[in-house]
Amino acid sequence: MKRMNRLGYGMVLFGLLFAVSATLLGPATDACAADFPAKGRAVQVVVNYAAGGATDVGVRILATELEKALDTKIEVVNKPGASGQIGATYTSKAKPDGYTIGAVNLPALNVSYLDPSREAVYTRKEFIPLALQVIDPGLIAVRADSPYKTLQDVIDAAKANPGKVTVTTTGLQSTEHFWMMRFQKLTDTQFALVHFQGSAPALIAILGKKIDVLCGNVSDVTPHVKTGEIRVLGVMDEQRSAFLPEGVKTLTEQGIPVVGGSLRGYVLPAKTPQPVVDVLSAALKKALESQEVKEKMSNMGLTWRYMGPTQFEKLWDDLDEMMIKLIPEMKAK
Amino acid sequence: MDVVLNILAGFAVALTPQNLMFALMGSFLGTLIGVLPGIGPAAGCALLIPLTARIDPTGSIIMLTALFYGTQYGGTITSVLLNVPGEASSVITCLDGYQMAKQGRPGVALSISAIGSFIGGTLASLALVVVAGPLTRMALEFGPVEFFALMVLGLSLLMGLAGTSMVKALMMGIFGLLLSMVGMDPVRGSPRFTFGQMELMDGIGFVPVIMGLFGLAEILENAEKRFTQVVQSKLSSLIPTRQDVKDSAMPILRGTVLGTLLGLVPGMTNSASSFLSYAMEKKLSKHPEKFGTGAIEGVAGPETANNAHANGALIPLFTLGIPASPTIAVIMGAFMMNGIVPGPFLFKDHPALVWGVIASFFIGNVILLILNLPLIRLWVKVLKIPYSILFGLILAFMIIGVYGLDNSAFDIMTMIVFGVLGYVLRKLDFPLAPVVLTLVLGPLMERSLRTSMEMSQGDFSILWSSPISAGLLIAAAAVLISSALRFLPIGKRIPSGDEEV
Amino acid sequence: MRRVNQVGSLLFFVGALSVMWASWALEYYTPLGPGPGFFPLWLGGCLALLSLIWFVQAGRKPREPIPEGFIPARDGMMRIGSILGALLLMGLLIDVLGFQLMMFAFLLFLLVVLGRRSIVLTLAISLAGSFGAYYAFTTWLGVQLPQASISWLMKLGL
Repeated sequence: MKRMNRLGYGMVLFGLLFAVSATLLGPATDACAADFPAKGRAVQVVVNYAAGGATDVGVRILATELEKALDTKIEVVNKPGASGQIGATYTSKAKPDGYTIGAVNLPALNVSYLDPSREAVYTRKEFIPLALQVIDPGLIAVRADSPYKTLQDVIDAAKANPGKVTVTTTGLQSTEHFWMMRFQKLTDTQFALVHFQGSAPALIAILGKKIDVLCGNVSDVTPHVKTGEIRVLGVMDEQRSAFLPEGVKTLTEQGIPVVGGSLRGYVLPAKTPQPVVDVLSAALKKALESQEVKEKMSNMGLTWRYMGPTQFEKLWDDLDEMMIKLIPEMKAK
Repeated sequence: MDVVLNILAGFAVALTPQNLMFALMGSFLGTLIGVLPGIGPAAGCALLIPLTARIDPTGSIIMLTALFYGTQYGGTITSVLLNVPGEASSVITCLDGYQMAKQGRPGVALSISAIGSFIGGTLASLALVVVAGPLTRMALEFGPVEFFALMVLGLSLLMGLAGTSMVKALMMGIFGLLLSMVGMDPVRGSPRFTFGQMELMDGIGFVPVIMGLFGLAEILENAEKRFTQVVQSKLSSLIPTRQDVKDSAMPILRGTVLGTLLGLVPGMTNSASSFLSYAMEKKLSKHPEKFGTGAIEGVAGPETANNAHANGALIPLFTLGIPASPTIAVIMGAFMMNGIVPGPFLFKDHPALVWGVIASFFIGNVILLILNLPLIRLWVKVLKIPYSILFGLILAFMIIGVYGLDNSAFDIMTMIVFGVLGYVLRKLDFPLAPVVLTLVLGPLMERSLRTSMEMSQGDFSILWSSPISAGLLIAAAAVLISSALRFLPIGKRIPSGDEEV
Repeated sequence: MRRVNQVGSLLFFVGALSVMWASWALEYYTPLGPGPGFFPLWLGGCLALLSLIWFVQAGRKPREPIPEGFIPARDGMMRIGSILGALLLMGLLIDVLGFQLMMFAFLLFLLVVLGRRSIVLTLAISLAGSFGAYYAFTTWLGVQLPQASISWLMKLGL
């Protein structure tokens, strides 16, 4: 039968192609560090979140400058899902030749491997810290017409009515969730934590007087601080923020040592040869320090803070130490 | 009168040759991205971000916004012609649009949806000019509690989607809800029904499920017999008949209002708007049995609603500085990068820019209409391709679409599973609209309920504490009762026309 | 047809029971309202009930033969099988062999076996759908489609 012949023909063709490729599946030794990056070979930046997200846009702003610094094409690849875990898994398994860089968000990445229920296949050791681009500090704020004038007012209200004062977070196990856990512990208070999906619904709920207190990031509220709709009561950083009115104190200054924010940086898979790491970290430094990147980021309310591999590593390890303690506490609740 | 002067000044800005060109480019790219698989509006805007560095803020924002609402025009085309949605918000158009194509009326379906899109987009932009203030106050009234009540109302429309068997429709509705439960639960944040699959942590992908249930199932069914042309009848004229226009007028108007209002609410997806419009049209229709067999109302309403949604969603960006969707967050980024802060001060600080951009919405929608209507003639030619070739191209299209969104091969597997499932369910005469409706609304409902409970610390009375939520819940109860009456023996005796709320 | 419906409803019933069983392990209620297991449990229960109703409804209908074409003929099965098989291979291998090779093989296979057009047309379409689409998406749209993860293939630009 002619039809069956066709079918067989097609199947053989398909099978042959598969077989040939499969038998030749073997490790090859390339990645010579001296000529990194090879002419015409693109470097992939893996973004753990969807195209169009804040992290993604940050990477795309950088990509143009990084192309100049490395003199090769940069491809931005989005591997979204499972709060960044899918992308991080991909990066950790990528060939350590420098052609795959991961764009990561801390402490989201820390949580993914420190929380056993996430069943991550990687640990801290699978990544080489390359550069830190941004620290977006957390903050505590209220509506401009809120009765709470200071952080102490909020704490007093929570003490008077435990579990009644509502606070936003941007999601279960989000950065804000962690910082609020810590805040409650240090001040011995109990709030009603309300977990939204991202910052936009949380902001609407604040402006619409549905919720009392906002826990968010500096970049989220910058527009609303400028218009005076929102009053920031304290920022969770070691220094005051240039994006907020001068009088806004840090939480530490107010006697509550909560320091934290969303960190965005770049990593390489472990075992990447040192010379390649050096080339990339130098290029990233150059790109991140360019006027273009600095200006756009500060317009977006993002606190530019370049850190090289060593500093970034220390910050990362400190964060790990803190998260290890916080995760079981959050799970217990 | 200020408004008139302002918008006229805006037109002066938007009509400069340079800005006209940006509107044209944005519209064209938007249509293209809408048609193409694997790339949605958010990714499309993000790709343009580096480019915007080199053009002035007004031009770049005009281009980005045009791209954004332009995708809603393009998404329809593949839904109607191939039963494969180009964008998630055009899924529901597959139900009646594809049937219309099979009956030789793809041109009419596409013309009506282009016209509906134009009306929806334009009126929603007009709302931004005329009643932005009151609409913004309404958006602020919409907290988690009201959101939950709205979702309940949406789900109550489920029974209205039933075909011949209420039992089967309800089963499919519950099936969709159960599918929406997969992933990280909104209560504890731990995995639920994920079977240890990391890819399922964010839930089952909506696009792969849709591509499977609609596109792949259709191809499998056609493969039963030797491939013949899907469209057997002669292609009719592209111009809608008088009857078509009459039938579409009210759905277009209702779709505009619904889409604009839902667009205001952050977290409300575009697809929720088009689904609710479809369910509402079927509920209000005098001949609901025609839905799913090529009813023009089932194309006109949803396609208008998703465009009105897109333009309506821009309102909170301009008045509050809050992005109601991921794509708008990218557009907001383009503002911010140029040192312009969206929000109430925008109109005072950068009047030329803001009114120019708003005026460009009207121009962009006109461009899109002019761009799309003649193209329809070209698009319907796709149906002339022999199906023995077309099926391969559709499969390739779906693979790119499914893989491209998240760069995940897992999604291809999901599509296969749901393709087989959809094929079997069609054989057993199950309606598919309820699955998709509940799959869209389910996660939003469970999450908003949880958020409401967190606000009240477990007190259920918060759910009917506000007048809006109480009103929505009462409406939901009324819809439920009226739908139930239709299927109970006593309901049969009520003359049609009296049964509506 | 009655038998088919009855079997279908029983399958749904079993599925619903397993959902209920799986949700039993999840927390049913929390101090702040329904827990992760609350909705799945009730929904599973409703689904089980509805499938029983369907079973009864199907049983009441008169026995009628399975309509013509309900189960596709042998060659129809072959066509469906080859589409699904090719898709499955695509899903398994796209990250290994890359988009271009896989899509080329996929289109070639389906168009040869099912399309049965001239070999020139088949080749042209397969090339355009694979290498052409890859070029268009990566170069003009900046959308990355997967490359082969085998290094010698990668070096060939696949």
